[in-house]
Amino acid sequence: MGECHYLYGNYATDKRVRFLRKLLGFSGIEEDRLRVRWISSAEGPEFAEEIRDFVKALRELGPSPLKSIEQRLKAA
Amino acid sequence: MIEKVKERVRELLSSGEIKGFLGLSNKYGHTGPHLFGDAEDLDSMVIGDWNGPGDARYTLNKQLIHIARQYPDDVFGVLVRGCDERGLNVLYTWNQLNPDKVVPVGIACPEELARACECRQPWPEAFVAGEKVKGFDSDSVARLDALDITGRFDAWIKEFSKCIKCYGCRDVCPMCFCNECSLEDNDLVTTGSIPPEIPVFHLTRAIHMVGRCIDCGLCNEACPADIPLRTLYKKVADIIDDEYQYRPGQELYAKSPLNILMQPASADSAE
Repeated sequence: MGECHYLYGNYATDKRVRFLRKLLGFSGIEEDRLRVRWISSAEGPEFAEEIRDFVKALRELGPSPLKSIEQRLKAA
Repeated sequence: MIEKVKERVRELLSSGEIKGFLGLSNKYGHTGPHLFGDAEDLDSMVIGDWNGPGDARYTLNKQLIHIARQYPDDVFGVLVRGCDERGLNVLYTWNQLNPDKVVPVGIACPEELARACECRQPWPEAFVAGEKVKGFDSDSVARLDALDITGRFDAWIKEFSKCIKCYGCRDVCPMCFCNECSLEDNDLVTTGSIPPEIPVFHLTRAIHMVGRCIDCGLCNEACPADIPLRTLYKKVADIIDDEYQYRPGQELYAKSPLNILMQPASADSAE
């Protein structure tokens, strides 16, 4: 965690993302649609693996509820 | 109740301890903020009860910031309820007001108002009128927490879609003092068109309430569409309190946990 190029950035981000995941959950959007991982620019394969894993998880979650907003507004 | 407030204000003005007192007055059938400067002229003073307790409150702290900026060397008194005192603590912490230049005159809220506000502490530490009543937990948050995720989504989208982007919530909020507001930044929020982006507009505001919102409920009262914004911001405060045992305004000069750098959230932070 202490390896941020911008010194404190990842501490701040960690707190904010943890908070935002819960806020999203309360607003009706699955927490797992937001993810944070620390990956250095030298860690190409790790990045690729993380993305593959995230896309898989997102596919399992299905379409985001946000996609339905426009229809809901029209129907209302 | 008002007599005790007037007595205190008279005392402060006559002794010269304050240059003016920012409170509420009722003139020609309307309640509005008023800067009382003359100890003899307090007849029109009210505490913000119109049809019921506290239903004619104003964002006095915010107005005090503007007054204090014009008259930085003068001391002003201000009417405070429990929420306003929390507000002052946060504004002192953020350097928007100087505690040496502010004399709060406190009133404790009646149970009816405290229940309606779901207020955790409906009294300031020092008050000249009213009686301490117990605080309330939030039913409105609990009711939403009890729904499943789809239920919550439906509920919030229904509420947010009423929004006409009047910025009332932001304008009335005593904690919103930023010179450059994220809600007017074209890179974050589309400006110049209605309706607002749902739920981006509302969640953006909610995120900015971290470490700021003192749960005064003026946003709810300002909203022309009756969106339960206060409930959203109560949840924001709960999320932060659960993790960091911090609530805005409880402790003077306590920094918001998201403003403290170099400190991990907890042992199981993201790796």
